[in-house]
Amino acid sequence: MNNSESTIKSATSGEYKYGFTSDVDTDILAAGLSEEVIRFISERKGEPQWLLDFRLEAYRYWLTLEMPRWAHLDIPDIDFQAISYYAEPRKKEGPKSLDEVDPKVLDTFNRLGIPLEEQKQLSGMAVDAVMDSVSVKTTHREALAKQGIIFCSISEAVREHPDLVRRYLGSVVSYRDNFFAALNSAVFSDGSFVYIPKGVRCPMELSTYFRINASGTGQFERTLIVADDDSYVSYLEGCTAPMRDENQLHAAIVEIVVEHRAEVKYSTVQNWYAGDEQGRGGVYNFVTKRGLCRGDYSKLSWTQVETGSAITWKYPSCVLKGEGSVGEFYSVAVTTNRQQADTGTKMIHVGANTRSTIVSKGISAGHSENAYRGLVKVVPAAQNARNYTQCDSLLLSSTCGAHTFPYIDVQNDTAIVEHEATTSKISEDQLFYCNQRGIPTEEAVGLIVNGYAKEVMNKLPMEFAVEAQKLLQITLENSVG
Amino acid sequence: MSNNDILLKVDNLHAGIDGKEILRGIDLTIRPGEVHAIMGPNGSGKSTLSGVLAGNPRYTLLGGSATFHGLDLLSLTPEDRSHEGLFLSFQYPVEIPGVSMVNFMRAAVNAKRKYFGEAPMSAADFLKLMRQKRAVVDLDNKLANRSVNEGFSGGEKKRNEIFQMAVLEPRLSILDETDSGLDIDALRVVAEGVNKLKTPENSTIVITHYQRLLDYIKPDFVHILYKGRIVYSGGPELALELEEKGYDWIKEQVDSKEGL
Amino acid sequence: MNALTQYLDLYRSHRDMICAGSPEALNRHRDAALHMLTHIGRLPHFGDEGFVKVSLNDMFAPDYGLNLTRRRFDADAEGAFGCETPVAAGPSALVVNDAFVPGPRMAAALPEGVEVMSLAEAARLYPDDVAREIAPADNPVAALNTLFVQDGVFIRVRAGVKFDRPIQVLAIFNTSEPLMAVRRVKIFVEEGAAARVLLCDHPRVNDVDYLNCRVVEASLSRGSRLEIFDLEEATPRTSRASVTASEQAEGSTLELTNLYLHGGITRNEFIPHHLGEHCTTTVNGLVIGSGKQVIDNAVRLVHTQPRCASHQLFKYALFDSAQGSFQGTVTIRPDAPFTEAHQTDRNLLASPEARMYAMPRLIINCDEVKASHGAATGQLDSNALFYMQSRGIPEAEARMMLINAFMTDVLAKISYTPLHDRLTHLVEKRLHGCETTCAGCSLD
Repeated sequence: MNNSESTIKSATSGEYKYGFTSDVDTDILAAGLSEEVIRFISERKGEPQWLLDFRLEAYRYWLTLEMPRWAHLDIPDIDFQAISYYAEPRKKEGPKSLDEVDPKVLDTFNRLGIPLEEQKQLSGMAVDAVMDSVSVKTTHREALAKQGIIFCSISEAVREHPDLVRRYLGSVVSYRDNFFAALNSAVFSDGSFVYIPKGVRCPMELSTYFRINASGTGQFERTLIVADDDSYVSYLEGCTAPMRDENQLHAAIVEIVVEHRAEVKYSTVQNWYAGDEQGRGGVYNFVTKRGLCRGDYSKLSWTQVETGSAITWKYPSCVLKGEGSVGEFYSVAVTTNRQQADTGTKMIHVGANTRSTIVSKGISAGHSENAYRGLVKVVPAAQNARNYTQCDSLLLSSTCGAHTFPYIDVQNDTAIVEHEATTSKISEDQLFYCNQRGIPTEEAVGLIVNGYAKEVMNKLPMEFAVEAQKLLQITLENSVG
Repeated sequence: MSNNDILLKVDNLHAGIDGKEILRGIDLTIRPGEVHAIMGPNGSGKSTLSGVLAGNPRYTLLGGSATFHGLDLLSLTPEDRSHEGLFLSFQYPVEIPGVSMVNFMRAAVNAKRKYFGEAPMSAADFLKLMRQKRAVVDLDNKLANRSVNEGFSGGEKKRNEIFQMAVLEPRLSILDETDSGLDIDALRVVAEGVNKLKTPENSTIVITHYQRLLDYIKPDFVHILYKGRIVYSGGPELALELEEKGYDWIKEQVDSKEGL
Repeated sequence: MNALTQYLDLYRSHRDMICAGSPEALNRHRDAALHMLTHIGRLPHFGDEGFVKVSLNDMFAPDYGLNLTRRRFDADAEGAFGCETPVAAGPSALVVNDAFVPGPRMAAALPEGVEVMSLAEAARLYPDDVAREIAPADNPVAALNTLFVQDGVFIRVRAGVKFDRPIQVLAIFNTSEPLMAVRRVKIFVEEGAAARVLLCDHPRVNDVDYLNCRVVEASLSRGSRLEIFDLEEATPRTSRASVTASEQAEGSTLELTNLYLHGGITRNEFIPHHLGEHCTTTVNGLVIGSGKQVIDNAVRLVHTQPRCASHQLFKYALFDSAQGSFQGTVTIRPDAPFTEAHQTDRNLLASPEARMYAMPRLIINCDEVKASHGAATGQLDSNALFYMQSRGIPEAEARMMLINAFMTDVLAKISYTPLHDRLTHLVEKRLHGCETTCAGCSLD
């Protein structure tokens, strides 16, 4: 190994700073999955019969499936009976006020930079904090409610807004969609629900922060966002987990419905625990995310910065049904050590004059494997559809992999679909040039990588962009020592 | 006045793009031998006018008529308009990879001959014609073997437009922002080319934002296009006045009138 | 329905007859192929990865006859060679369905050091060369071919011999019954040698179902050069399953140009392989599809050696309800640093019913590489069209010129001028709707 390569190696082995565990009293359901477990979850949440039926139907369907193997991923067998499907930080009896939340839970979120106490709450951002299977606190709710915006945990939405939930739940991602969608539909625990009424521009960023804390559990949250006509919302999602030697399963579903002329921006900074240098532990992040641009001239924009998880397997997608609707996907996926990622998007052009843009930046280091997989489909009715895809890979070691798997299915002769992909490494020349100007190599690597990812980072909301920048630095930079 | 004396008569022309009306009633009369300048601020509809006259399918016709030496211009295909003597020098000449200039021009020349019932030109005659016409704008011979406009500099593209104009010998040339992106030397070469091709029979519409091209191509009439209408017409002095005072006074006048 | 079963049954029941009629070199791998096919159990079908527009199962499902008894078909060699258009008189060989027939002028036209002969004959003369497996043993089309192949063409260019003129192999389809023609072309280009091979499909009958199961294998020794031009002009009732596999020793250059002008359903697989450093491989394709034609090209290129280069350029123009599919996989293994790999796929949909599926892929496990791919599907540039019309070129002609221009860069890469001109002419004729026939493409 030459010098600069070893520097890159040391620069790409940054430590995971969210790896602490919290000593929170937690009720954990015994491991295993059965109809009884599903009935227990449903009962615990006080759910109506239709939702229990939905879960059971999904479960029975799931039983007929086998775990898919088509991704460019090496996934160890998962024992679904060894996972606990429900874990809840224990709280005192009585009305749910902040005083009742275990201070250790508050402390956990404080350490993650997400203060939940009233006086410390982040302004300009409402947060739904989810720990293990339950939402512990949603901030700024009253302010939002004044404009008719609903932002709460999905369990609460089931109780308070059953009609809305029932109308939209499973309407974008059916439980029959795939193996993990079926599993999630059966056992989903908590997650966020967002409804933006007609004509309302959500005045602050909405954010859900997911934290896996308990060991031996999986996290199966479910997020449902509905943007009614002419509304706008920017939604952020962050996630972390403690360092544990075991693998933890995270199989979430995000469904988004965008009505006429509405716009939803969905940003993710995914920083689940990625496992150690030898690939021990880490989260399996198998997520189904899909939005339906149902209204004319609606717009859905996915931005993701993926740095965590032992295995990432997800394709945030847009079904562009409304005329003139727009789908966007901007992604930075960083893999180091033994991480694996198979991520990308699907853009399904159904309506006329629909447009989509895909910008994917893969960065692989160590012994990791990083694949972009994306489908662009133009159905016969989608007149004048346009897609542009740019897909770049940056290799930071000689032992990593960078792969590109586009699928381009064009069934309309007025469509224009373009895909470009390049692969590069940081050249000796670039590093030398930086060195000669006095920039140390590890800083130069960070600089170059950030420059490379800039096009995507710029799409993040301001508050998140800073965090994501730091995250890239932490993941890829480790000062020489 | 007899219609025979009129080369182009545009009457209450309305047109738009993507459902938006751009031209909102254009009237224009051009006689043989005249040079008309159409000036106007950005977005006033200058390029739409040239596109509609040449038949660019991007634009939608919303009303009015245009008569070109007795023909209903707007009912003709773009190629027939070309055969009948209408030439558009594009603001942005299109690059066509894989089609050589020679093949392109041969196809154009022979299509016109066919339209008039003539036999295709012999290879020798065609090459002679190319040589002859290249001289008008001093176009480099090696460009002939390149693909149409591909890899041409801005100046070469505009010269190439005038070269094509020389070959096709139109009765009415529309020069759409021919000066854009040209340095002063290139501008002179292009303008000289246009002047060399000038005859008492053919006419020219010069579409431009600036006065400077009109130093080289002297207009007989100057029209000011604003918000899709010709709001002012005058002689060459109008261009100078615009150069001096800008477009704001026109805008103010029109906008205040519209305000009523 | 599992189409494979009938072939496995047929082979098991006629094994002795097939083997008795063939030299040992052709029999050597049959049982292994049978074993492999029995193991996979079925042919790829719609829904299998990479089989979106074509199903090999459906392609092989009809009840085709196989010429197991080595019946001689009417060759009409004189007729086939009677075509005019001497562009670059070169040696020609005929393959009538699956049997080799030497062309009348072949011997005279071949220089010393260039052999062109029946594969069956070569199997007796050079058994080890003929038995050398270049196509991957786990490829189902190659295995089916191995199971039943009894003849084909063998070409060898001896060390140092550089032969300019294309060696033309005309495959004549001539049968009155539905037939599956199984043939193999083996090409050996020895050290420092250079050759060009033109493969043409020539249907003689229009009203019979025909399955063309073809394997082309090329072996390039150090510093050698081989250009293969593969011209498909079959009938709508022809299906073609073709595998072109190659192995290249150090410093060799392979250029494959595949032209689809007519046919029914076609699946071409290209599987180049490098044995040494500094190899260059080019796989280009041009497809003009119309009617209900279905054309699927798949390139599987694995870079396993350092300092090699690969280039792919595929262009499809699809009319009517033609369907196109392109899958190009470039894999760069960790032990192949300094690889340069580029792939481009451009497709034109020229009618509302035309469809295109593109699946370019890069699998890269090495950082010292230059790799890129691009794929675009769209229609003619409307600005260019208007520009041409405004210069007086009628719309139909302008379209034709633009489609022709779209195709030129594939043709421009054909360095042998007479062939370039000939093929360009054929493409133009095809685009103008003319039936290109045997008479049109014969270079003889």
